Amino acid sequence: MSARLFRARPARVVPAVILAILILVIAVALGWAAIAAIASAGSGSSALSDGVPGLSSLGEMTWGSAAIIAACVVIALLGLIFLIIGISPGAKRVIGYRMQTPEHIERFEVVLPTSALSGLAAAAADSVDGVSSVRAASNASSTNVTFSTPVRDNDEIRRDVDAAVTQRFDSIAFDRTPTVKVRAHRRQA
Amino acid sequence: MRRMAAGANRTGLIIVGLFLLVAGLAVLAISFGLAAAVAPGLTPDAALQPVAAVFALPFSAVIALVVALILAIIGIRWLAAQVPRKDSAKPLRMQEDARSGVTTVTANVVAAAVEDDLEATPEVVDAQAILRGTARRPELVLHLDVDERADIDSVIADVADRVTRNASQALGVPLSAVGVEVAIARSRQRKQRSVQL
Repeated sequence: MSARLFRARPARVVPAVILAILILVIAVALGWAAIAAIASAGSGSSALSDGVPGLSSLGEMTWGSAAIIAACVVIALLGLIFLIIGISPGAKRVIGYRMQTPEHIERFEVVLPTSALSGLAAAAADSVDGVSSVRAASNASSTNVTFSTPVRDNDEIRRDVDAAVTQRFDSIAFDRTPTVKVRAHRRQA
Repeated sequence: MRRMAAGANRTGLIIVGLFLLVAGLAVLAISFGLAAAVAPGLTPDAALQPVAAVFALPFSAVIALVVALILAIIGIRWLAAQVPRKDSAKPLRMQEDARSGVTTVTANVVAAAVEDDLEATPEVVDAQAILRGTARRPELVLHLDVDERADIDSVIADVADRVTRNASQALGVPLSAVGVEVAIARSRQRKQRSVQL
């Protein structure tokens, strides 16, 4: 069986881009220093410290100096962060949909991204009377709906919104129907 | 639905992360005097002269230039890998026997036809299709933007029963895999679609 058609976990594009740019910056700095050293000495056999005056002062530092410790703490922390980002699977970004596979298809896979859940929930909540604006945020197992209303006694509206969103989700054959949480914000009209 | 370099990203992050973590912890171990038991010279009050001496070696500038070039190539290739790939099928060879002529169909043509077919469903606002695989084992990956009040079940049933059947008939073989991603179209403002009395 081949890999799934849709990637359920994040691809870690942003951290990878940051790290790739960091590598490029280091490469440019190192190349610059090397070219400066070669140019100043005028021969291919020159040492790197010829072009970078700071490198010779490095020899006077001790291992226990504060600058070295601070730099290494930062490096080790960065390493730990990259390692965790690389290993941890990350939040699921799609929710599965239950579907009979038709006979002309061998493998049928239907997914909804979590943003689609938010869109559906917001649309359902928006249709309730008394709601002035809606925000919804979702992960693969739950949706949080926050609506604002000018009505002071908004318990009933909250119940209506909960019912509308729950009914909307129940009408869709999710693998696992997401739970709905509704919060009301009172806003002066 | 386009493919990302998820595996490469995670592998790269883990390798670089491990390297930085181990290097940082190793130097910290020297700084706090923990390495003196293993290497007697490496006490916290020892100078970094041996490290600085490496940079003062002859030819170290040329070596640094080569290392910089290698790092630059790694960085650029990694960045280039972030561009999402469509991975469409190569032109499909549809003929029975190559001696009597070759019939090829490009994947984009089939994909465009499937997109048009998808958009014939009233609730589907926009659709994208990618055809992958081969003529004998085609795979379809579909992305639908449906209206927020659409009946999702009926849209998916329509895709399963009508659109994919048409595609399967056009290609003359069963589809080996079909993936559908259903998103909610949010291009239009709610106010523009409602009628106020």
